[in-house]
Amino acid sequence: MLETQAPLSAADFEKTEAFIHAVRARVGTVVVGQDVVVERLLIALFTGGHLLLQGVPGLAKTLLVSVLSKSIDLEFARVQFTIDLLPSDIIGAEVLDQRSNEFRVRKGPIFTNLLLADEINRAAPKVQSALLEAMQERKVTIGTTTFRLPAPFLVIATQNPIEQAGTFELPEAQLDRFMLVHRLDYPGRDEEREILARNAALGIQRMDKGAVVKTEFDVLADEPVGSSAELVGAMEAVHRVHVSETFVEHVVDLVTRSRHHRSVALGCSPRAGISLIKASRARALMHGRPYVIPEDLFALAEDVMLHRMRLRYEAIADGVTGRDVLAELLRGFGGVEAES
Amino acid sequence: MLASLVLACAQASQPAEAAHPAEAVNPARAANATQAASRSVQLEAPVGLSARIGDVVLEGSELEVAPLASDAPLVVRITRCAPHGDAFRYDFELVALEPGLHDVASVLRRKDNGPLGDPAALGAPKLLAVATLAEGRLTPNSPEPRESPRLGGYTTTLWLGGAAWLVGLALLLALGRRKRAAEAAAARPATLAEKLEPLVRRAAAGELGREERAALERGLVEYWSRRLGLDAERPEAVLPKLRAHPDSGPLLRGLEVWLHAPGPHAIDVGALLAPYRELAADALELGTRAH
Repeated sequence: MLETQAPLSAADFEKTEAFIHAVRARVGTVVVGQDVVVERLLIALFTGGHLLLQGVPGLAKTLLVSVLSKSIDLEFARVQFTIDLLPSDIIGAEVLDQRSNEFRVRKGPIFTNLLLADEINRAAPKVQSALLEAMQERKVTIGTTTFRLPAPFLVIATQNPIEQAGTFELPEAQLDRFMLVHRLDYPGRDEEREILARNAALGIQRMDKGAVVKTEFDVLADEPVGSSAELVGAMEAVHRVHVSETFVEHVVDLVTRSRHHRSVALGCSPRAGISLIKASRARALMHGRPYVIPEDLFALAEDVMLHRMRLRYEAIADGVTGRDVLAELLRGFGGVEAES
Repeated sequence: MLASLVLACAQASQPAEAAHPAEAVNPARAANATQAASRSVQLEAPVGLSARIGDVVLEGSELEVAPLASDAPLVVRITRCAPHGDAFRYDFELVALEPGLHDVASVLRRKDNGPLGDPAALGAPKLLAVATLAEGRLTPNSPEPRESPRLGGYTTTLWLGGAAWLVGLALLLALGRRKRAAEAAAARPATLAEKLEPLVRRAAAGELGREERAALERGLVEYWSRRLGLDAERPEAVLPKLRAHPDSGPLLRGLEVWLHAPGPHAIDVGALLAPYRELAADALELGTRAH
């Protein structure tokens, strides 16, 4: 049993559940579908992990993060990564104040609660490295001064799976810093129809003497439905979710077998196991359970494990994908298949 | 002169070669044979074995062997007879049937039925038969057991060797095949039902350890996902479907409470797992095909 604090009381549980429900409902007013992405965002937020979203442009990633930040009264910043971006463009720099003739620290956009790092693979490795270091240590050094990043601090990075020319793929060690890597799918047919209907109803917005066409960003309600205190309460509640010894065994078994699979050159690190348990706790809470069950493991395995496994060249040549391997590992959950 | 006679004294082991008549005759000295008639030659041979003597010149008309009585102690055969002046020259083959000194003259007679005269004066050879049996013993010992002679010759040996090689090869192949079969049987992974059976039994007895509880739950999830044909589903979709299914749902929800929920619970593990205590080894495969 991995309880570090007192078990979750019924009152706390209900309060957290209501908070989560309100946030999801607010997000749902703007973003159609994407329930799983919202869930992953909240998991990352509640557990202090970071999230990498892989998907083609136009899937409402920015809108999603924006509405989430406004729902909980969090600061939000967005950085579009490009090849000419410098580390100081993100973390900040010392600038000379000409009036006082002294250097003054100008903090970068990283000093926020939710940072959307758009197309992170388009930035040079030194920029990626600077961001990933900040993600790990939750502090940055500008000049000679070290600054602690605000809490909570969550990086939501995006990656376009196509158009790889001119990009710098994140190495495994840096990918490992992301607790979750979620692969976005296109919305379903009904969701797509709803998106179009909502967009068609937006209309225009008069500004000064003219007008602009409204976007989803313009209809975001500024009133938060949850406070920072409630967020902290949810984070505490996650840590009170019960994790049984049996569940830990499942996690250990799954992670260990990923290292011995015949198609895998590099299996999951222990950090994968830690992330699986953290994320499972948050998911259990969001599904109204004060304890984790194997369903949480199955649901999160792809997002937590897939980016931490590197396949053998022979397997890739044979057309094996990481999803195939993971499916085989999970199908062999009974211990009969998927032996290396 | 006795020395003029070439005697072929046959020993038991080499009777014929040494006493061949052609080799035994000494023509240069045959003329003096009559002078030797008064002196007889004495041979020595074991009882039952033949002794030969050649070029024995005996005076008078031609001699022949008298018919033998059934209990005659000496058997004599004249193997050659040739005129020798007024006398005849004989080659004898002698076999004594009883030990003692036997006079050949005692079994001879004239072919013309004339008187033989004094046997001692005739000069016929004598045979001293030496008994090899102990005194008073009439029959020999029963033969000692001996190694059987080799069957057949070189070809037979080759055939037998080839057959033995083939049999050995066949045995080796059979043993190898049996060993491989045994190894294959040992290497065959246990079926899911075979893995589940001891876990279920021990779970009902409350003897499961931490790893075994996890293995039991994984096994039952695997069991039901196969039975309900959910193998092709995405892994994250399998468990929600299993939990919602009327057959597998109660089991999985019960397992979750038993294995994952904090605090005391009211799950009767024995009753929960009772349907899985005696699964046939191929029950899962059959169940999978059925769906």
